[in-house]
Amino acid sequence: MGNEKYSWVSQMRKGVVEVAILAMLAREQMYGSEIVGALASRPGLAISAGTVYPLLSRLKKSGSIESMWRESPVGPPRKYYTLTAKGRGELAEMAEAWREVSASIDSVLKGVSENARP
Amino acid sequence: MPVRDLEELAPDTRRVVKEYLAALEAGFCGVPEEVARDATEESRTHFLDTLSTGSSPDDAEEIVRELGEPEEYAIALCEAIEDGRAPAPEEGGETGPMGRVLGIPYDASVPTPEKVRSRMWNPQDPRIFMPRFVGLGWTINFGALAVRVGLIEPDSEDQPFDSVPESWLLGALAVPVLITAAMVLALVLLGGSLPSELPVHWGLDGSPDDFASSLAALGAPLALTLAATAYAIWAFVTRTSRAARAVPSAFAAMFAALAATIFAASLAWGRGIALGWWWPWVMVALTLLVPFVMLVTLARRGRSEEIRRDRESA
Repeated sequence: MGNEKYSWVSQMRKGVVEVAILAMLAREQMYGSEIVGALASRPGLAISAGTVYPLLSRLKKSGSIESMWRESPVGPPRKYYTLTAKGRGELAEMAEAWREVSASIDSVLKGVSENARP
Repeated sequence: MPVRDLEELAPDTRRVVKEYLAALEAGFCGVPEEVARDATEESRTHFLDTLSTGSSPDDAEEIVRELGEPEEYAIALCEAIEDGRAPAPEEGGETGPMGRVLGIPYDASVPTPEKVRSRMWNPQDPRIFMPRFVGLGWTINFGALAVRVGLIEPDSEDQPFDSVPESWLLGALAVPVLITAAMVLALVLLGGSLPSELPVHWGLDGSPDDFASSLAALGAPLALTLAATAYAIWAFVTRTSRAARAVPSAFAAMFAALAATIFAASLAWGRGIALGWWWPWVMVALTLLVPFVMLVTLARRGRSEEIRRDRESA
């Protein structure tokens, strides 16, 4: 069960990380390793760089985000990602869907956690 | 009345369902057979559960609309199975048998330029050792290595080498071509009056321990270089994506560097020049450094091209 549970968690994480990335980019522009770091600092969202970068590529290809190289006052120039209008719309839909799912799951889980424990 | 078998549906309704299932099955490109069967079975059951003996073709169409395009579903399943990395064949996806023996990956599928690209230069994937694109074992993902030593970022290019000027790609192709030309030239200039046998294998101390006829000793590395260079030229001419056109040049240069050092050592021995213990290490270093320097040079060029483009548009 240990492995299956782990794989279920990582599958779920992969789906929600997309929402998290769009949400973070809605607040501010960020560069690749900054995004990886920000996700890593949140328990439950930590996901490997090998997953984040392909996800960024995919979001960029689909037009949800765009990137732009910017000079940095300290350190090397960096490729910053920003949310597009399309991405903003998708984020709004995803956030709504997430709240629905989350509320429903919470309500069906109510009382389960204690009883389910062996 | 619910149905237990597709045959119980009205003929026209059944046709809609069967068309959907056929399209679904046809879409399962690289999915393991049992997974494909389960997924098809699941969809079939969904139709049986939701349709009844009296359902019209329109009812079936309605369910198809709910389920979405079968092709899309098949692709989504492929991606879920491959852990989100199921590239299509033209992006370096698999086209033949692969797996693991005793924990060592093998791959007997065709080494397309796209696959060579995805294994040799994949900066977004942090794994330095990738399953080899042909044969048994691993190959080096020079892209991950370049990221690790801080020469590039995983996302420094939108698409590898897409912004690299054409002349630079041609320059990369020139590397294996020039190594091949140098070998042919060396053979013409120095090939006469060689002993009948030349060394083909050396110990770690650099002294020869196996010999073959001069023809085999010089011909084998030359043939390897020629074949690798021909492959690089073919990829350069026939492929469309810049990465698939350029990475095979580095791949060929890797083989050319390896073959050329062996060739040079054989030739040197034949001319009475003794090489020291160091030369096998030179061989290993060149085999790894030549493709690495080529690929990093192209990537850095693409990166600065992107920076320049963005600075101008800002």
